[in-house]
Amino acid sequence: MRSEKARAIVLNSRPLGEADRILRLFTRELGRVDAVVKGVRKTTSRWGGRLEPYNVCDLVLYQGRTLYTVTQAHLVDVFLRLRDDREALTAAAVVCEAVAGLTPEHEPEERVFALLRNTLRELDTGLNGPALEAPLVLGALLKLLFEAGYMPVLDHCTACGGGERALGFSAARGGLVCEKCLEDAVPITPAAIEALREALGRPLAELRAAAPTAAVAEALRDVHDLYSYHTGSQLRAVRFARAAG
Amino acid sequence: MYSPAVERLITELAKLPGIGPRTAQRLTFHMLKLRPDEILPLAAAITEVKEKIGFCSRCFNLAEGELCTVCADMRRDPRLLCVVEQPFDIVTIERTREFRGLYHVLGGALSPLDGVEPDDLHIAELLSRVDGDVEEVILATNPTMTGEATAMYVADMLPRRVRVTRLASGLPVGGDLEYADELTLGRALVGRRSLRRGEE
Repeated sequence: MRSEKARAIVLNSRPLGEADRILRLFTRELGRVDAVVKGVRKTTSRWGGRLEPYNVCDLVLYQGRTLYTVTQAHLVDVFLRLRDDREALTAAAVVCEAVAGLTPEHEPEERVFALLRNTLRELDTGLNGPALEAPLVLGALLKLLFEAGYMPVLDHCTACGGGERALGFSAARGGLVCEKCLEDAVPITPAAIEALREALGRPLAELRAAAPTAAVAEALRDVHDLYSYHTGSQLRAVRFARAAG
Repeated sequence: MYSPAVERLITELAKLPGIGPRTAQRLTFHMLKLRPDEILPLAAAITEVKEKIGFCSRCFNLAEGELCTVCADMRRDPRLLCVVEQPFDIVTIERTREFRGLYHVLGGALSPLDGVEPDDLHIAELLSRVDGDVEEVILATNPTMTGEATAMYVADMLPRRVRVTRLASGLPVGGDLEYADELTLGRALVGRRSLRRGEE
């Protein structure tokens, strides 16, 4: 039993017992871990809003038999404007859920930590359209898939390796496919292919400023299929965004 | 190890929130020690509450009939509607004795991360309630990420003619500034108010 210091982003939290919560954390030092925080739901709690989802905190975690317990928390980044923008909140949920789904427990991924933190910073400046049409969300998901080793093939046919014009996207085969190799692939428009390439190649700050489009929404559907294929589950936040949109 | 009846009681008690197998076992043995007139009222109360209590058809508060005591009270102000996540939030607000309007219980909060969608809550019923009489809707969802998301969604859905307000965020009465967290203190600063009358 020992204490660990870690810089963490709160991915999600759920109530536990009378007044506690279990936090799903993505930490720079320990990777993805779950931690209990005692009494956080009481209005008199010393934790206050420090451990709300999407906050970045420096934590002291006491390692128990199955879970960590948060014993100290210092707020590093709080995204106040994010909390007032419904689409940005949904976008943050999509990206945080994808991080939880793509990263194994207890495996530090410093690049993923930086990517998630930068994405939340950009989202904090606001989204100028629906979350599922935002180039920033598409870019963050693609970059996460890249870090997880599931980067889709976007520059040639993933089935035959040919350089002919791509007409479909296949999650099972991991990217674009040409006319001859369509099989299980879903059709993809040239604009969506361009959106995918742009989202992967441009920095997050530029993507945040880019306008939301139907092509981005189409590309995001394909990327979500790819995520589902590799993780075996769909992103609940994406379903939520479609239902609430 | 135990007789089937004892085993069954332990299993049922352990299904309750916050009660693990050891506590369930301890409660069971405590109940076995009590006289029938000490423990049977508990069984009767559980049966009664399940038979008699349902949800108010108007606001989804707990109710012993068609309407809850708040909706049935003609002295309440129908122009004010306070939206809460759960029925027990009504009890908390009622204790303040500051609110004389009506309530609407959503039954939870929207959560993109947990997949709780608008159709899972009583939002459509709220929108159909906000007709002629209602002038102000007070969104009293929890000051958590899910509560904020719910408040924003409901505010977007409500008609423009209705005044939509949110419970203020700030420092707890009796606390020291020194122990306030940055998020709460930041909100308290943003929502600061003038002490001079007539100024916003």
